[in-house]
Amino acid sequence: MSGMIGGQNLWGSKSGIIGQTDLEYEEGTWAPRLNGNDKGLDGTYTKIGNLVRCHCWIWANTTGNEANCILSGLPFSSVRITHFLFNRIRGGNGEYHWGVLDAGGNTIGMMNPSTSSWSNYQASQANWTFTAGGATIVAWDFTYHTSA
Amino acid sequence: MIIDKIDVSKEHKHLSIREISDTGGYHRRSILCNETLADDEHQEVKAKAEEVWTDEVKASWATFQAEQQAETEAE
Repeated sequence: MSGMIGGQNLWGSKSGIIGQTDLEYEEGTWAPRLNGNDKGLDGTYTKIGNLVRCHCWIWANTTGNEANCILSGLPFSSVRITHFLFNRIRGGNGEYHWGVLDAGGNTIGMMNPSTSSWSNYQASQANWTFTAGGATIVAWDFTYHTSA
Repeated sequence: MIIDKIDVSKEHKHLSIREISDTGGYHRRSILCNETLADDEHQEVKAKAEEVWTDEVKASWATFQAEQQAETEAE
């Protein structure tokens, strides 16, 4: 399947049907939150059919640790449980952790690397701490499926 | 923000709201059927939630979540 994506709207955002298929295309912004706080995060998304790819980022000096981090504000709810690998860089050092998006959910629970994922953890069981500090870079990019 | 479109998920009637931002681009947010709408939420969103978030839908979502939790605890 291939084709042209629908044209821009009056303001420049793109959406429409891809070629002769029924795959809808859309791109825009969303408002990422860590434990309900924006922390300076910005987000963009691209949706093709039922596939959603989200990006969120900050490059800033952060103040105050955020324990048991839950990333919320996702633009669409998920249709199935999905795991992700994330990285947070501070002062040039990377710190990997993972996250889980519940089936039907719209939040991602951040998990410590040592937390076992075999037991199907849920977002509400988040246990990763976003530690405060200077020169923090977060550029998370993740993909999931929605039914919307 | 101007409400542009409200999509309803098939399974649990969650809302995905597309708005037009001040700069003219699309902005999305989602609300699950067990969440409480803000007092200053757009009237269109409140009306859609009232329409599709029936007691049956909410009960189905609660049951689904309980089943997911049970699976977790069973592992």
